Amino acid sequence: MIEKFWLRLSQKFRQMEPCEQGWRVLNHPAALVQHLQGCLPCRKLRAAQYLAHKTASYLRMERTPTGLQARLYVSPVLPGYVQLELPAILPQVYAAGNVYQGQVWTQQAVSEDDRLLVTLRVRGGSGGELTARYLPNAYWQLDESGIVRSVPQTEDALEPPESLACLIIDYIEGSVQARIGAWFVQEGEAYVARLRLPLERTAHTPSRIEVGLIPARALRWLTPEELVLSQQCALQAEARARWDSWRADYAR
Amino acid sequence: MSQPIGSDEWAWRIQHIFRKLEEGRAEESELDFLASWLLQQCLTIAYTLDAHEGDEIGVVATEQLWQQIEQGKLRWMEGAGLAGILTYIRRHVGYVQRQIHTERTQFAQRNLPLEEILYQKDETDLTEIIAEQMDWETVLNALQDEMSTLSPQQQLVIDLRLAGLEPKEIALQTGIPREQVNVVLSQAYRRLRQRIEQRARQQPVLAEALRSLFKYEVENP
Repeated sequence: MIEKFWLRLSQKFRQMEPCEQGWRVLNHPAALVQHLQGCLPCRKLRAAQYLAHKTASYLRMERTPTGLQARLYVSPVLPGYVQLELPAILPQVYAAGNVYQGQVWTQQAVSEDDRLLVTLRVRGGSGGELTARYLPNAYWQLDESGIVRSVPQTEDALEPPESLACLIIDYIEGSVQARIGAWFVQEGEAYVARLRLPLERTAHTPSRIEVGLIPARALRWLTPEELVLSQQCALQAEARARWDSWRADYAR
Repeated sequence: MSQPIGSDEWAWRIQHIFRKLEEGRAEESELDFLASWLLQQCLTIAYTLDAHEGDEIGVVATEQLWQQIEQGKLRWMEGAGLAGILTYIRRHVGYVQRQIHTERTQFAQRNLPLEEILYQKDETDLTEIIAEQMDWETVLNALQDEMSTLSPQQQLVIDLRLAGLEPKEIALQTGIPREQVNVVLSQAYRRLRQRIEQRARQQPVLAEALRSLFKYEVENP
């Protein structure tokens, strides 16, 4: 009975309309909480507010000459949020036109919530590579000497991440130079996203790289060009295959 | 948008931006703020209508309403105030939802097998509909009273589940481990079931409603 009860209740709940009083107090948190104690349909409002807040952490409306356009963003409230600085050291072009190659510049960072370890490798003249590692049963710790280790967690495992958003932002102008989505692929116990970074446009100016975990559904807010770029940047065969199937569904 | 929106200070700010817009002197940062605020409102309303497609509905509504703002159709009206604007936004989001669903339903119905159409419930039997509605009201009233006895975490998980999210989606959205989501749901379900059963033993109307809706017989201890 219990499954049927909840199934039908859920269907019924979705058909119910919040009351006018609920709508009136929607933007007044204390009044809404009080109202919910006596109004079951208005519980939808709180669930909706929660979901809207989550969506707004990776989605913004950008003003364009033709109106508003939804764009994928990352923000510090996202799980696994990491910000990396990328100095303009990438291709050191000398007067004679030679490009100095061979040096690898590496940076590692752990997200503020300790869930994600991000490694950025930049080779002179040949672009960059970003690897994001996630362990469902552990968190990352970066000590003062720069050593990273995984610390097993005692609580239940968190849900593995679906996808990653990576933004390359011009440090001076604040404009987004590239917006890339990536899939996590299981490698042993870890979930790993590996992607090539198109740093050509930001090579001569310092830039910022921002990364965050997003639901797979959020990838729909990438533009067609950004989707193509994302697939081109995927370094794992499984991730590239997943882009194929996802784009087939997305286009339907 | 880290602060709760719609406080009096925010209402004043929205009014201020709408006025400056009409005068053609709104600043870039104010327009960005208005766009974010509009998206937040549209998403919230859209998620009350459809927890899975809320983002799409909300975004389409935001785009359309922004056009209306630019054309001066959606503007601040003395006497209606922020409540008037919010009501207008709500109606428009509902309109967009119907638009999107109609398109999908038309597509789905073209592909519906004959058997499914033949065995669809007759929605014109008013007596049955009214009786069922009364039973639901009885059950929902009981449930509403009992929901407030749950912990805030249980309430959030139950609200999202009732809104149609699967346990995995709830885990992803809330950052609560899936195992814990399952435990919270099963504990909350069990608790609510016990409390509703207790009530039903004292309220024959509730027992009858449970029997009618779920074929569920409340046993006396």
